[in-house]
Amino acid sequence: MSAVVVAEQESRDLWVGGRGPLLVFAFSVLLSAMTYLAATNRAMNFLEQREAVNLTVQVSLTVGVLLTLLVSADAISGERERGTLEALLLTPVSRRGIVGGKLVAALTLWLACLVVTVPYLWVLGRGVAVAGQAALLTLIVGTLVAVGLGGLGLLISALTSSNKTSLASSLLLLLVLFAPTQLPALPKTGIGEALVRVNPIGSSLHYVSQVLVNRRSWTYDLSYLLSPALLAVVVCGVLIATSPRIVKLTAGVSSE
Amino acid sequence: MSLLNLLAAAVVAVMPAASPEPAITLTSDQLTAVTGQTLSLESVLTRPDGVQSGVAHLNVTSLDGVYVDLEDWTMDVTQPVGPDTDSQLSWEVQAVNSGHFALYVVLVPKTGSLVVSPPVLLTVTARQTLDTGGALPVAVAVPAILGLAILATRLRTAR
Repeated sequence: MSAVVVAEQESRDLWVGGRGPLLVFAFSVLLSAMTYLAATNRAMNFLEQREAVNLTVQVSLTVGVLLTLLVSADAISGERERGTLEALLLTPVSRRGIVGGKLVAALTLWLACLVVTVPYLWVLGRGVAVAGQAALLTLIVGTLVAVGLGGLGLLISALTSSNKTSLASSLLLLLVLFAPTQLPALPKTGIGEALVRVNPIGSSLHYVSQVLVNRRSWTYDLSYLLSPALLAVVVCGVLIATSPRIVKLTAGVSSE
Repeated sequence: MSLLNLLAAAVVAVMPAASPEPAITLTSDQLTAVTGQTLSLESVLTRPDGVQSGVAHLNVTSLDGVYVDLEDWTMDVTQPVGPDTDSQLSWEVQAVNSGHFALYVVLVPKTGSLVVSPPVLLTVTARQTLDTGGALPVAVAVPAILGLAILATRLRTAR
């Protein structure tokens, strides 16, 4: 119950405070530019239309997870630096409740990104009737990745002594996970496939491509979702187990 | 004369009888489709005794000079043909480009020469699926609605 109260409060801060709407607005501008460019490409044919939908899902998933990671990386270290963590720790809410509530609040940003993505998927995918499938796929796969990486961001935020370190470490982590997905030949080699499978972002994007572009069944490459699912479970487990010890005040870090 | 006849009869008797050639036939010889449509094609391999295994390969050739990327047209370009394999093979093809194409199956045996089927002539009609007019309103409306909502919230808070 205490986690629900924290989630409500944190969500209010995120959405009424103005940070959430601005991030989602920037996200929509990015998707608009990409969708317009994809739709006005006269050379696009039927097959590439599925690829355009796939590209939209991939951008939505990656940027949506990036925003979730940024919010969660700021959640504890940011409160510590702003001097508001002490007040939060004095409330009758368990440390696990605080962490759980903050994670749920960060995930609302991912869900907002998903809702914003749906019209773009509809306009790009209506000719091939793939918009509904793409939206459902984004919801399932993206939520898995968002929970895993959002939780990892919270863990980094709790363990680092400064907010700058937390944000920089989280961004670096995302970059390290995202960079290999841009290597086109990676899944075709044995080591490359292993790297894709281990990487939660790489394996998720590969799975989405297989379903949307190559029209594989949802169960055909399901093993690719093992690493994002495992990451989500392990990170949540670590947060539950360690939050009473790691969510704490650190001497000399408050800006006040 | 009779000696010549006798020699000819001896040669014919000694020569082995010509064995029937392996052949591939396709279930149709002409198809039409629109871009994006998936077609099924069946090939039947007639193998007389002694023809071993090999690889059956589907090929798509444009008759208009359009570049054909075979990987886009079909996921399974080759299928193994073993001694016990069913001689009927199924191929799934997606019409990716518009124009006139020839589809044919080639058997590459482990030994011996290639066996080629007669071509299936495929005519693909273009279908415009992307709608620029539909994309522009969405690309403008979504950020505009979000921007106005943020502005309205800010103004209300400022009052």
